[in-house]
This record gives sequence, structure tokens and C-alpha cells, in this order.
Amino acid sequence: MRRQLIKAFFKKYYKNHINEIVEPPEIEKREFGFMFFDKQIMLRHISFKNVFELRNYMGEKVPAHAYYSSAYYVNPSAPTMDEKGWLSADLVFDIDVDHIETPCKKDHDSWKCLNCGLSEKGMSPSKCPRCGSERIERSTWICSSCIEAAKDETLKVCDILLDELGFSNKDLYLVFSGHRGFHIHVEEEKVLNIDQNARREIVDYLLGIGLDLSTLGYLGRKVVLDIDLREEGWRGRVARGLYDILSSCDRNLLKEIGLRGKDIKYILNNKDKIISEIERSPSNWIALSNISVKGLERLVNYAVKLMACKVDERVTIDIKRLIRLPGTLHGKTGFKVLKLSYNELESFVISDAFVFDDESHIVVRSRKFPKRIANYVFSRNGGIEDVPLVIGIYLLGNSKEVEVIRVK
Amino acid sequence: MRGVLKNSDKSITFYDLVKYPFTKEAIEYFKAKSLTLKDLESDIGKVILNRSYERIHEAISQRKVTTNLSEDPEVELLSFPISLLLLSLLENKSLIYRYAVAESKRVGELLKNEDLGKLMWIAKNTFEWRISLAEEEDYSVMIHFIDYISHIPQSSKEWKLVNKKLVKGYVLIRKSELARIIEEAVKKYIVKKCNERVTLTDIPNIVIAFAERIAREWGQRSKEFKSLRVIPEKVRNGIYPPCIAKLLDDLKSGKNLPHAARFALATFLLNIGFKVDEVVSLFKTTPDFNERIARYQVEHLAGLRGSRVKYSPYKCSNMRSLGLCVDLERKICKGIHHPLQYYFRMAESEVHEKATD
Repeated sequence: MRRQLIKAFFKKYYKNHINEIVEPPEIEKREFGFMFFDKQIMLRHISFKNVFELRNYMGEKVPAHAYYSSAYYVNPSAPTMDEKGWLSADLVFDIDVDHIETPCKKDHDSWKCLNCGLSEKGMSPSKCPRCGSERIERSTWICSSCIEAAKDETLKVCDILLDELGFSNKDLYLVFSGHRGFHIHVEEEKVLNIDQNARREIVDYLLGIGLDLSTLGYLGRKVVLDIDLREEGWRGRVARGLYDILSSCDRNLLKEIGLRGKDIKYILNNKDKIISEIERSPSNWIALSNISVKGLERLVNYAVKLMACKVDERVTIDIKRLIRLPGTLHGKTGFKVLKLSYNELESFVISDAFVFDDESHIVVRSRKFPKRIANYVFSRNGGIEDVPLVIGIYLLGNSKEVEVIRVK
Repeated sequence: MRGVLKNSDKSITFYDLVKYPFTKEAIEYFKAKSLTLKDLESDIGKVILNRSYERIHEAISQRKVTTNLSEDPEVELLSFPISLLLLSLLENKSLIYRYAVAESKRVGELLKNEDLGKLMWIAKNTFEWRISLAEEEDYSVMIHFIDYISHIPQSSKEWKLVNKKLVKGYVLIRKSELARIIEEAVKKYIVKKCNERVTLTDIPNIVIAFAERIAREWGQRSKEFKSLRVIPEKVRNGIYPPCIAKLLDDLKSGKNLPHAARFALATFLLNIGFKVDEVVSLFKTTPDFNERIARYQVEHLAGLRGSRVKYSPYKCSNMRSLGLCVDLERKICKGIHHPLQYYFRMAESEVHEKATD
């Protein structure tokens, strides 16, 4: 019933906005996949000759979720990979708030272990800290601070792609995923043909995986680095990360990083000297030469973690993945999957992806409401509330506990 | 015959094409000869075929191909594409890989003694890399990062992009590094060429005879591998990579392995010849063992169900990402990029020792 209600709103939306569904380049070589309001499975291996066929399909079937392959195939509708005939694939990065620790998660996220029953507020772990089970039920919501955090990460990735990897502005475009993150698509000609190993190499670069101490100028025994705060690339990033850690650290943080008592004592006693030496041009790290090699390694690793981009590596490495189609609606949120240029990202706010007008309202009942959704703050913890349609649809899509009282 | 060289660098000689028969100019030379399959039955054809066989034979027996410049250089050049032809007739992936590694090693060694100009010639003309001379101290060239990451050796940290100096999409590298990247590109080229499907009719008997001879030689070695399955467990354990050995230990001590670990272990064992029953019974010690489900899953991995695809274990980089690698420093697994590779390498030396007893 509730799903049929959302479907009816989607249908109405597509009737007037079907032309906003974005045509992926070389659409005839792409595989499409859809999920529907009345089925639990994904219908895959679908292809379209042109964007009109695709739009007709969308308007007629009104799927809850629409995806297309980042890959190009000879026969995109063939049932097996062998028969599909993989040709190439766009390079895609996925940035999702799920992987970013934000303070607002304590307000609106919670999780429950289906194995042992442990449940907590805040960011959900990948496995239960008590019993180790990976069967975790997550309840996640979105707010403006989540979107800001995801935006910052996305801009960080874009800057590396542009400044360090040398892509140009026109090679990449961004997509708001319709829920908690952004996708970056790179369609530069040469990058399309690279294999999974090469894609992993790019992700590892963004994540700082495999960074060697010798790259930072470390020559063994005598602990000195030759990196500078103002430097480009990973060397500069690590320098800035170390600077951030050392200038704001206390005993607890250094302990968490895994330093020994002796190293912790040294750093805390000489903090000012260490910091002012790093601030010199070029940065001087000699004051760190008194800490152990293991200690330095741990500090560097922590700095790398701090500065690393929070992209979901699986999405980039998988060259056969389906990804959300821009211009369609996200079935769980009712938000629009929105294509953006690099310049548009900076000013993006979540309400840019709202498609249902503010005038319509919906009265819903639930045992429990989250504190806020997007920019809407709930007036009560639970009960009956009159909310804008956008928020109502989001609630219905995300929680089984929500009931519709009436649509106004 | 030097017509092909007309438009390229004057310092490139016919001998360069002989040494580097994968280059654009060498391939053009071969094409200009318009050899037919029938020509291979002629006297000179037989000489070429014989040298082609030798190249592959050397790869099988010594893991290295030698450059033979003392005989007819033209035979040496023409024998390379014919070697690829023989391999594509046999359609054996592991043999193709073996040959590709051996032939590219030959190239790598020759490149060490070449000047930068020759390396640049190969990089630009044959592989069409975006590359130019660098004006930085310590570095000879800058190569576009996409060309770079598509051809780096997988096994070592120092090659990772994250450890390289990167300027606006270009990686700064030394001459020796360029030589190694070309070596890798040659390997990839050979694998790709040999896997291309060829439809040939009227293949002369002599070609088939050579192909069969190679198949026999390679089959002999594979048989030696397979015999390992029956060697006692104690010995066999020594030739498992440390990650798999650790998973087996965990399993034996009754630990509950996460999904990815079970996948890695089961696919590994299936790939080295374990039967479904043997794998299922190993998992009996897990706390949540359910024989029906376990059997179904293992049969799925073995390619007996569902998509009928036989699964491979994760390669090392994925094992690392999943936290299953136990040799992050790569002390035991030097030069290894797949758990199965470790096994087969160890297995081979095992066979070898047995044979020399």
C-alpha cells in the first residue's frame, strides 16, 4: 500500500519530467537494471537502442530504482558476462556518508546486531564488536551535515583527480546519488580501457595504500623525513597530516595511535619545538628523530588514514557494476539522482534534489521519528506529524514503522 | 627489406627488429613478407618453424628465451609471430603465460644495455605511450600515469603510484624503470595476441606436428603437478602460502572464519585439486556447520551449480584489502601476486627435487 503510494507519486513525476532522465554516452552498449515497487529482485540484462526507448520504459514501468552499467558491452542484454563481451568502462568513484564518520550520525543513525541483539546509536560497524557477526541491521538517515561531509570528500577527490592525475574539468562529472553520497564519473577516452589492476592502483593512490616511508625521505635508523608542508601530492599530505596530529594531540590520541610511553612523553614534552620546526620552510623533522622507528611508522600511518580519501574502493575496481542513472528518482528517498558539474557541487544543497513540491503535505504516524531528515527537524520523537511531502516519502521509503494517515 | 625503416628513427637498425620482434616496424616487416601457412612447408619455412618451436621449448624448460643472432637474423625475426601462432592454436592459458614471461624477460635483459633513445622509440612507436624526456634531476622520462599503471609489476610496493613523483598526470621514472615497464607491456602483448581467436583452415601437417610436440612437453609438466595431490599432507602444507596455511590452522582450531576467509580457502583447495567432499569435511569443525548448506556452497564455487563458473581464490592485493594476508611485508611471498602462484611455484620445485633425487 505504502509502496503503491510512492509509486503513484513517482509516476506523476515522470509524466512531466521524463526528459530529464540523462542519456549515458553510447547508451546502446550499456546494460540497465531496475528494481520495482512490487518485486524484491533486480531485473538486469536490459538494454535500449536509444534514450527514447529508455524514457518510455521508465514512464511505463515506473521502477523504484534505475541503474546502468559503467561498462560498455557488445551485447549488453546477454545473460552472462562471457556473452556480453566487455569492451571498456567509465572510471567511477563512490563517496558515501556510510563510510565517513560524522558527528551527526549520533543524532540520526543506529544499528542492531541480528545475531546477539547488541544495538547502539551512531555509525554502524562492519561487524558486531561483541559477537563478530556481520548480520547487522542499520537504520540510517540523512541530514545537511552529512551532505556537507560527503561534499567535502568529493571535492577532495576531484582536486586530486584534477591537480595530481591531470584530468581536466570536462573529463569528469558528478552525480548526487539520491541518498547519502556522490559519484564521480570519469569518461576520458584513455581511462576507459584500463583493467582492474590499474583501477586498483588509482584507488590505492586516493586511499594512500602502500605508501612507503622511503617515499617520505626516510632512510632508516636515523628518523628524519624530508617532506614539506607546502608540497604537492602524498608527501605534502602526510606532512600536513602529521602537523595536524602533532599540534592537536594529547596523551589519549597518541595512545590510540599506538605509541609507546617513552615516545608519548617525548612528543608531549617537546610539542612546541616539534611544531615550530615543522612550520619552517622547508619543514624540519629533526625533532622527531628521538622517537622510535615503530612510533614514526604508526604516526605516518595515522596521518595517511587522516588524509586519505574516503571512497568505496569496490565500486571503482568492479568494472561490471551497475550505477544509479542520473535524472531518475531514488526509490528509498524520493530524491532526484542529480547530475552536477564540478562547479555546481560547491553550492549543492540537499533541497536541490527535492522534486515534490513544498505545498503538499502528508500526515504520518510512527512510534519513533529521527531527530531530523535533510533540513527538516521533527517536532516530536514519535506519534503523528504533518510533514512536507518530500519528507513523508523519504520516511515511507526508509522505515517500515511509518504509516500514512492522509495526504493533503 | 629496410623499406620498413624508412620513416622511423635513423638509429634503428634491422637488428633492432630482430631483437624486438614485437615492435610495430617488426610486425610491418613480417606482414610485408605475406607468408602463408603453406610457405611453412618449404625448406626455409621449416627452419622458421623449428626456431619458433625452440623459443617455446626454452620457455617451458628454462623459463627464458635466448636471442639467437648468430644464425639467419630474418629467421629469428619471423619465428616470433609464428611462435604466437603455435600458441594460439594450442589455446592453453598457462602455457601462453609461461611463454609471455620468458620472452619478455629476454627483452628486459636486452633493454638494460640499450640507450634511452631506443627505449623511447619502443614506448612511443609501438605502445603509443604519452611519454617525454624529463628535465628533472634523477629522472629520465615522464610517462602518463595511465600508461604507467597499466604496465607495472604487481608484486612490489616501490612501483605503486602512491610512491611515485606525479606531476599533472605524469609519473617521473628512471631509464631502468622504463625498461621494466616495456618488459611488462611485451608480456601483456603476447598474452593478448595468443588469446585472440584464430580461425585457420588447411593447417599444414608440419605445423600441427610442432604444436603437438609442444603440447606433449607442457602436458608432461602439468602431470607432474597433478601427482602432488597424492603426496602426504605434512609435505603439502609446506607448499601452501602463509595466508592459506593460517586459515587452515584457524579452521582446525575451531575458529569461526568470516565469509571472505571461507571463500578464499575453499576456492584455493578446489583449484589445487581437492574434491568437493574433501573441502566440505574440512569445514565440519566450524561452529555453525550445516552440511547441506556447506555442500551447496562448495559445489557452487567448484562450478557445479548456478552459473557453472569455477571460482578462483582472491589474488594477493584483494587478500590484503580483506585483511586475510599474513605477509604484508612480503618476506615469504616475494614476487608473488596470487596464492595459487605461490603454490605452483613451490610445487614445481618440489617436483623438481623429487625428480633429481
